[in-house]
Amino acid sequence: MSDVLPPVEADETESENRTVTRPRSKMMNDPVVRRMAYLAAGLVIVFLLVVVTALLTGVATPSGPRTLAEREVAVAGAAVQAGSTDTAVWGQYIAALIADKQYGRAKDFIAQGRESLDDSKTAEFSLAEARLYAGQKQYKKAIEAAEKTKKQVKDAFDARIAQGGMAKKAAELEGISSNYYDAILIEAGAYRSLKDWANAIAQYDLYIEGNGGASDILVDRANVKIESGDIAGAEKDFNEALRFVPDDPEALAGLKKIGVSK
Amino acid sequence: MSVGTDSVAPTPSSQATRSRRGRRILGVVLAVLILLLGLSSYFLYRMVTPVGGNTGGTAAVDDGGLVWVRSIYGKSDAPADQFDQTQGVASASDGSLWITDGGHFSLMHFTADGRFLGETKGPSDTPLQAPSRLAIGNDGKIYVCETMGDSLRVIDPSNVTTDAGSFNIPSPVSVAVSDDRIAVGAVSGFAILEKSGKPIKVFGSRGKGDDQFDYVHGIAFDEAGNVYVADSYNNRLSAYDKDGNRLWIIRTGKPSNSAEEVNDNLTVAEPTDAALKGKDALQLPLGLTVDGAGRVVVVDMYDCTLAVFNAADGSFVGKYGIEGADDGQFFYPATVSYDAGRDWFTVADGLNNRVQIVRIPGSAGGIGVAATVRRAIAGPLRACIYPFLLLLLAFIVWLVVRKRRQKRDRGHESTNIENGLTNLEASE
Repeated sequence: MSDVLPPVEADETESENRTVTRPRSKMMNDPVVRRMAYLAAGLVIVFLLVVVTALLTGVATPSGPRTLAEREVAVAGAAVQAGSTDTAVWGQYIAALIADKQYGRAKDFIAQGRESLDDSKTAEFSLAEARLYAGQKQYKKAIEAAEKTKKQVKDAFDARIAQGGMAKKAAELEGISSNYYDAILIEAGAYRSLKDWANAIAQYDLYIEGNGGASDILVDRANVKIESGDIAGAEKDFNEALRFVPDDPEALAGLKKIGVSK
Repeated sequence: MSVGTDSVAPTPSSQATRSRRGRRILGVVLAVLILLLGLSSYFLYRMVTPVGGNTGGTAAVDDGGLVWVRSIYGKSDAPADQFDQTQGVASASDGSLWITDGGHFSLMHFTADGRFLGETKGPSDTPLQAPSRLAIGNDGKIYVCETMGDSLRVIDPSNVTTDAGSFNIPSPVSVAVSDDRIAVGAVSGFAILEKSGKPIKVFGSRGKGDDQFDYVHGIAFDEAGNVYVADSYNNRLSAYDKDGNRLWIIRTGKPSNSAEEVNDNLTVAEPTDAALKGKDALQLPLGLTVDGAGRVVVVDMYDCTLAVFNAADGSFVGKYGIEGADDGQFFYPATVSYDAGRDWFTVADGLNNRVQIVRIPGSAGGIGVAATVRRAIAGPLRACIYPFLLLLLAFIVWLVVRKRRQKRDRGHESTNIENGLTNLEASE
């Protein structure tokens, strides 16, 4: 800003003379100050008008969910608010919150769930924690939480088997909780983000061992194999995926990427 | 600088100091204000703009450049208000949407931003029976297929309590409306009617022959009055002129009604007359519409894509979209409608239980500034219309005031010169 004030223009002098009865701050006599004040007032007015217009035109007031994540939050949230004590419902709600990037609320519900519900069999809240860390890109913590989930679920399953009798039969019939495999996938994803291809492949191996026909995971493992330089292994996985889902677009895209036709 | 109302005139140096301080203070205030308003605007924009679209593991798969605008999942956040297998969606001229689904036996009305405006189940004495596919005329009237009731119902949104009429059509499964006509697709063909319901022409019988049809699940008019028809289970598309003469017919893939049992297996022989093969072939053409560029856009239900065809000869242009549950992906979509004003498509994404608003390349009717502005103000930027108009008005006022001042100054100047000349003459 210049120390020398601009010369007063004739019309401004005249304008001041005309408004001689109206008191005005002396700073406002400076035309530059006056213009800046007008600009500031104008900006505020324009902003407020934008807010009002957004409300009037309905841009800011949708009545229902606009995205899949918002829908999941709404539907799963309603069940939790209704007082559900099903840990799976809580897990679903927390997963929806994480997908909608509401990490703070997700953390609160994990804490609330741990306090009020028993998740010793399914490790629902450990899994939710792994999911939360992965969403927040804290991959090492996500791996730790996923490992904890896997151990908790496996221990609970083994304990049921060890009980023998009906408990054993029921456990064998139900199989291990699907949270075990969800934790594997979170862990694999975290290793992948850390570019630790060997451990990511090891987790996918573990998953495929229990779910042989999971074509989407075969495609994921193939893509990691490409990153690790195992092109032959990737081709094998893509072709295996196509065996389960012929014309799977992702498998075909993968084969195209490594220059192999179906 | 003028003295204002002060009785004692400040010295020029004290006034200059005050003004310098004022400029500094206001400069800082202005900078902070601009920063705050910028941040507020950013967060406001983020808040009103839905975040979604094709992300994650499917990025490797080509969706043809389909752009997701937003989805609508239901009337409110309550689980009971979520859509259940959306069946039909149509855009009104004001951009609002009318939607039908399998769970709510009503016509649900939404703004294009997804705000629920209300719903109607029809007049109380003659309520709607399982409304499915629908179309909206230029007069705002809604034409709804009641497939089970063998009826095409007319609903006047401005007066839903009064019966606005109905036409007896056997098993109507699709409908289109132009300025003066209605086209209705049915199980065994289609009919073109006057707005009064008087038939102009009725086409087809059920079968696989050239002039036969097997579920006309999609029908649309273009601006010239030509009619485009999706013959779903025969996997064919055809076009007819205003007088009912066929312009072209193409087989778009394997017909779904030609399975034969061979060695205890159901198989469909590869058709010899198919125009499209391999990945281009449609699996089940359903709803269709005509976009702003005059192209025919068809929902391929089983391929979960939108397929585009040249309206002049039925030649294939391309496919857009991929299968999936994420926003911007489809899972058994049923119908599509085009909103010329906003240059977007509304798709009843059946088994994803939602309506999606998407754009595909090359669909705009106009090019250049007008189309760009239309697209822009269809989204959250619409909130800037009034502020923009205000700024425009302020700019015009400023220009006028400036012009008047300049004129007045010139007047003063010439008066001064004249006075000077007069004084000079007098002194001489």
